[in-house]
Amino acid sequence: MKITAILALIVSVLALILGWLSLAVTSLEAYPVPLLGALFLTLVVLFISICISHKETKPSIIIFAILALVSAIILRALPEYLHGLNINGVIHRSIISALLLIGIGVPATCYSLFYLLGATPRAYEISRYPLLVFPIILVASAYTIIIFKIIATGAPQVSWSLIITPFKSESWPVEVWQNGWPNFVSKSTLQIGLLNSILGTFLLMVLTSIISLPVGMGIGIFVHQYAGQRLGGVIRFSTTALRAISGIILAITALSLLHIVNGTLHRTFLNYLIQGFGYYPNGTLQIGRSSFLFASIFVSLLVIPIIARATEEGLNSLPKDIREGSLAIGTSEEHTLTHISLPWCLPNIITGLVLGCAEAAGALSIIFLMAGTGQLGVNPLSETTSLAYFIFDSRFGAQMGDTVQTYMGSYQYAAAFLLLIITVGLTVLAMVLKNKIARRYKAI
Amino acid sequence: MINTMVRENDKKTNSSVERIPGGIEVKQLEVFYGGNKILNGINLIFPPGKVTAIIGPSGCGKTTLLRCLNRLNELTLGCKVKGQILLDDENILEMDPMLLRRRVGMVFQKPNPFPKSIKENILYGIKAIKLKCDHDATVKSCLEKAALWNELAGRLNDSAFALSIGQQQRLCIARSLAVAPEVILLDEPASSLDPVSTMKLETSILAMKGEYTQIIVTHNMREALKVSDYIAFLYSGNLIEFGETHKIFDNPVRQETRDYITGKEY
Repeated sequence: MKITAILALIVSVLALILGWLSLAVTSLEAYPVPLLGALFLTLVVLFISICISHKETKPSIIIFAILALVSAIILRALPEYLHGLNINGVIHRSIISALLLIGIGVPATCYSLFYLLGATPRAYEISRYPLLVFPIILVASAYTIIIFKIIATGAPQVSWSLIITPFKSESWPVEVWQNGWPNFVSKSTLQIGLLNSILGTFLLMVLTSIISLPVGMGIGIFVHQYAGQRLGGVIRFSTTALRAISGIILAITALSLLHIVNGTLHRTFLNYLIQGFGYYPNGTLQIGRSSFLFASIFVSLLVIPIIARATEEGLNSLPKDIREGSLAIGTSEEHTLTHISLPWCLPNIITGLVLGCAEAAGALSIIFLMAGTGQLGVNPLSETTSLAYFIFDSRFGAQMGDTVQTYMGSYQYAAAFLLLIITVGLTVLAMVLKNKIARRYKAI
Repeated sequence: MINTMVRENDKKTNSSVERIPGGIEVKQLEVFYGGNKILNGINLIFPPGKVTAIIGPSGCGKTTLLRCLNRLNELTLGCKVKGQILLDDENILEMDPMLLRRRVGMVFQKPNPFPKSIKENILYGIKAIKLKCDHDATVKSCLEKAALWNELAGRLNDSAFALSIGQQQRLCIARSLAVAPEVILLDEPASSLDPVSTMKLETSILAMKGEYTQIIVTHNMREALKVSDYIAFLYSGNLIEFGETHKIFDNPVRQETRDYITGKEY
């Protein structure tokens, strides 16, 4: 019995590993032999275990066997049908058999663990672990693969010169005489660099924080302290709803606003303010697609609810007695707020702010319709740009066959790597800061 | 025997009075929460410099009465107050609540030190009103009055949250003393303390007698007997009886008071 359980455990873990591999690595086609071997072993073990405990055949064991057979059939037989339906058989086969293998492997591991440990209550508890652990392994491995890919591809591309070089792409017509006729030929320079994208990312984060921090904190304080039950509920609901709006809807709104501005306020102060402007190296004034200021207002719409909720939750966690204690000494509401309540919820606000900054750094869904390459300089009134937009632009442009973007495309992993470093660094900084403040004020 | 002790204590503190604390007079006080009437026309005088205990069963309006005296009840939504409360002949319902609360300090049921250092806790009120004074001397005198100086002299910069519950509660008393109030309200201050801490707290209440008018809400008859000079018995929003402590304990006029003090059901 024990040998059967050990065998079953080995086989089920093997099935799990193969299932994981077929999800994590491109396709299962590379592993047909070990997979079929594993399935064959599974069937043998099942047959033996059924033979041993034939007095009570469990329905779960039969289901287990059927699933193993089905996955074997899919692996060998189904691709032709899938090809007939004009579906890429290889990919679908690997996904289906991965799901089946995991579906078999997890309960099988649980069962065999249970019998191996002697069917005690403690064994019952332990045999539940694979159910919890395997999804975690799947998710963690997905993250690991993505991050590994970014680091492995991006890190070697990043060099100091790439970081400090601004992106520049210019083309201008040159008059050339051909066969006695004037002809215009386009001449261009291309300088790939990430400086404006990096600076733009930081500027977007800073501007978004400046806009959304006071507004978000104000909403949080108002809802907690001044709004009644009903009004507070309405505000809380609407901020949550605002959080649920997808960025693309805000982007469309922003775009139509930009069109209106461009149509009615052409070359006015407001036009420059909203659309942004800058000078090309040859001195020509150029109006951008949208300014950093305008873009960060729209990004703030996504960040404000985060900060408002964080502030409100921080204030809620302050015991009512402490606030009343401060008022009972004869201090004003404002003094209590600035000296007791806000220091108390500062860690919460910082967490909210960092989440918001990460949102701003990666807020592609809002700015992808109105950002540019950032050649017009990086200041609040110049054209929006960010690392996220660089990645999008290079990928999208390369697919469309644009030469400049194809060039940029070779650096998209470098940009992704830098974006990763910025957001991770920000999070670490916030955690350190938060712990420091929490220790100082709450003294725990 | 106990009564004579209390009276002797009274004489002792009276001899060392330096300034005259304010007395509070409550006239026809009615309090409503939403549609519920919590207090029905209370008439009461809290004598200056004495300790008055408010006793009564749960839900009879003791805490509401206490919170009316520094207008903390206004923080609760839907609370309405009718009548007059006079602090040295000034109607507190027409005063600036911030100025009022500086004159009428409060200690809460649960210790509520601020998340700051011990020193910062005591100086909080002073710094808030930008009062100019010797900070170190104030900290020392406040902690001495709350019978805490000997325990905490060396660790003034520690967090207040690191103290024991009893020490936290006495720190709250010291904190309310820092802004030099005339009246101190104590809302069941010993309810979350162990016997030893309770004893220390009672010591500091007795030590403050004469210098401050103290009003204490309590469920503990032994405590009321030990620290108070006067007792007010409240029952379902009405003032049933008011008088000197020993009179109330030895010879109450009303049957309800007698039943409550002796612990009978009614």
